[in-house]
Amino acid sequence: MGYFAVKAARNFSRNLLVNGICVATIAIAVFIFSATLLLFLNASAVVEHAARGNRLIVYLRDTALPVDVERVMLALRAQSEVESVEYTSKDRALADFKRSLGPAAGLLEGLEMNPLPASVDVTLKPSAGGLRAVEALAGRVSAMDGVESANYGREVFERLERFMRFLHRLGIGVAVLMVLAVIFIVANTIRLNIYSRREEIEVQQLVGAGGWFIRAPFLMEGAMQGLLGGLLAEMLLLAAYAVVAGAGRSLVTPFGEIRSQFLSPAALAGFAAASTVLGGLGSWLSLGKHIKKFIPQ
Amino acid sequence: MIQLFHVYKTYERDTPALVDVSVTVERGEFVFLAGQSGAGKSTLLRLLYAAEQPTAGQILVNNVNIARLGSAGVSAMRREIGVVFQDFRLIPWYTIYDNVALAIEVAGRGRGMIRGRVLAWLEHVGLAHKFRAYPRQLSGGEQQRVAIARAMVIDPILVLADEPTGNLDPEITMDVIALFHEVNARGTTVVFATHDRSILQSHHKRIITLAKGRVME
Repeated sequence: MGYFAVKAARNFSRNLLVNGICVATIAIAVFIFSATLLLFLNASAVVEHAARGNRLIVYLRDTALPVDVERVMLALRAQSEVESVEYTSKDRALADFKRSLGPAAGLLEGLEMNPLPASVDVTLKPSAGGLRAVEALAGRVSAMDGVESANYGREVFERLERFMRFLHRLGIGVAVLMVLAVIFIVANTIRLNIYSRREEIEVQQLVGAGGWFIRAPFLMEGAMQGLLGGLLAEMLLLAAYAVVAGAGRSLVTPFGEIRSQFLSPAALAGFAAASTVLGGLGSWLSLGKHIKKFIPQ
Repeated sequence: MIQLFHVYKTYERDTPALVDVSVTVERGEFVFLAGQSGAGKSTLLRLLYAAEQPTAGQILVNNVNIARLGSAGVSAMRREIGVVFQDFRLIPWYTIYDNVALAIEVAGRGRGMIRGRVLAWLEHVGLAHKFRAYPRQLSGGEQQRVAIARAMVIDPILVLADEPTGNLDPEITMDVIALFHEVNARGTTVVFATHDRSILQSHHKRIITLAKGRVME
């Protein structure tokens, strides 16, 4: 085995340009797939977080009387799933908004009236049941006197869910393409290598080499191309992740902050292994088709 | 060692390459296979190392009917036979050492044993000091000596040489033929194909002459 591995490594370095292009192309294919998976993983975390949602903002009408506000507050506090209720007046909403604008707050100085509504920020208990409980409470609260609307990020959540379904389909499509691409690229490169080494194959046969002795270095070369392509793709992905998301940085979402995550070591190992196996498979297919021209059956 | 019984070989849409060839070569014998170009010498040798199958007839090499060998059997048989060609058939991107070692590596022998034998044979053909060189760095005579070392390193029972001196000048030709005599003196059977009359006249060995595919012994 070691003998064939050394032989495969030598052959790889002898045709460095062709093999290098092959590895780079595999890396691109694997990178596209693993990047899609990474995106899916982080989007899933957002959806999961959103599905565990426990916040509801009840916007009050400007015409709501203090007694209406008090009634709404009491009604909310009476709900078994509600953990806390916090009232934000129109004035405080404007002050918070100005603070969030920072230096641009001057833009609001020309306002003749406060356009922001008063609101009640409701936090549900963790055991309440997530987004369904929030949705049910929002439905009940919306019907109350003095309530304009109850917002819990439903539209964003639905959009995110649609995006996830799209990503899922995209992931499957990209996976199929990646598998075909790696097999095709390796098979083609090995075909070129078989032809460029036909003298060697002929001499090997002449001195009594068996089929396995001739095929093994090509198989290992294909697997090596797959492995190197997979590892290169993972390095590219890590670099891209560090630039775009930043290792461990939080993602700001409508549902709060979520810590960004990279692929697990097991997934990375799986990618490298899959890429290696696909490389070997591509080589095996190519050998089956082309080496027969040199090896009498 | 070699027995051919009424062997015929015909290529598609061509005149017969061998016609009713029946020949016997004894174990340890040195035989010249003579004849003009196209007489069928190379075809006969190709049949002996099973690069081709006869159209008709039987061929026994070391008491094995080679027509009945599968691909694994052919490989096993070739690991006991050394073959030397006019064009050397060395692998250009292998070093001299690797070219010779290949013949033993295919048998899966240990690395230490391989190294010892390869260097001993390179020493024997006077090229041990060039074991790291590549074939293109050697002269034609040196390349042929490497090819002989590759054929001999496996301790073959039979050596088939197809015009091994065809590309060499007379002085080197004598050196190369002397190597084949040495090999034969160790007990290895040698079949040496040549069309060079001066070689045939200067070495008193049995000659099997082929003309238009027929034996004219």
